[in-house]
Amino acid sequence: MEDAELIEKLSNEDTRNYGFNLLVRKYQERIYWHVRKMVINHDDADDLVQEIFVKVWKYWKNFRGDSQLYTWIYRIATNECLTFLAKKKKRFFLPIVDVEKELCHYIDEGYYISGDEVQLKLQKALLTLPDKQRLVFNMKYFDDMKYEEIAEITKTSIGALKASYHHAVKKIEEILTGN
Amino acid sequence: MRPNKHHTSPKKLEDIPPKKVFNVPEGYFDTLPGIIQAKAIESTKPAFIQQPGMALKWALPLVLLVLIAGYYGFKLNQTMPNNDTKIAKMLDEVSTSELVAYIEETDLTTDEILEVVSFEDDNLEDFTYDVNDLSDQELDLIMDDILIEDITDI
Repeated sequence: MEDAELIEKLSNEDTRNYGFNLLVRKYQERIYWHVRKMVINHDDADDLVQEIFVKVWKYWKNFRGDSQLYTWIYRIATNECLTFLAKKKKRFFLPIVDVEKELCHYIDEGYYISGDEVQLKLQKALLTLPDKQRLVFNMKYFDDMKYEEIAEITKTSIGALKASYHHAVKKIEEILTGN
Repeated sequence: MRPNKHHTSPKKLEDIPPKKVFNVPEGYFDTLPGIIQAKAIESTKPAFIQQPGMALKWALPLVLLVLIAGYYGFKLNQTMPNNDTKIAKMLDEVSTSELVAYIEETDLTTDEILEVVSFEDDNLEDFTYDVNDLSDQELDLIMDDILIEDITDI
């Protein structure tokens, strides 16, 4: 179903529930994978995805249609992920390393994780990046999104995004080659 | 034979194809919309209906607060009575003989006393009752006093 039709259904009180159900079905997987790549753990991703869609429902009146529907949902998801990770860091009080260790542990544990050695090594290397940089990297590298789309979601300039991605790639390659 | 570059240490990121390494439990995406829908509808209900336990959680301290406030209000009322009650309490502490002695020694006339003290119907009834309760001897003494006062006033 097209976004325009979804928007229409969600904006109509009589079809709101049905429209929301269709919206969740359409975007749940994309949002889940976007979140999962950031928080690594399935249970955390599950909680966050639920919260994200509940926010979409609650704040639907705030969607003015200035941006595309998926951009708006992605922005909510991105904010939720970053807030979640920031809270995690606050809980540890001290270094980012502890959160990195925790996320690394989830990869090692292999709880709903598969992939060969190189893929897992890449995932661990990604955890060394700052959260926002990792987010940009995921959207560009894994989701193959255009810089324009990422710019709209993250409210960052295209130039800054390109620089961020370039630095991320360089750092990851250094880690992968062991330099 | 071309080596499997995915199992050797890659030097470039482009050597690693973007691949999903994460999985979900079976049927996860089939049940998720229902869970989300239920949560979303729940979130729009008023907070107290949403969690019945919350209502009790707030009601109990509120009831306690009202009880404590009521108790202190009652105590305060007892410890800070109005002026009339205060005077009555003070007079209760003075013995009858001391009162008689004071009245005898003062220069207050009956009119001056009547100007200050107002007699309501209830007071008069009390007074009548008190007079009726007096013994003959006590009545004679009062009558003597009145006669003397009447004589002196003339």
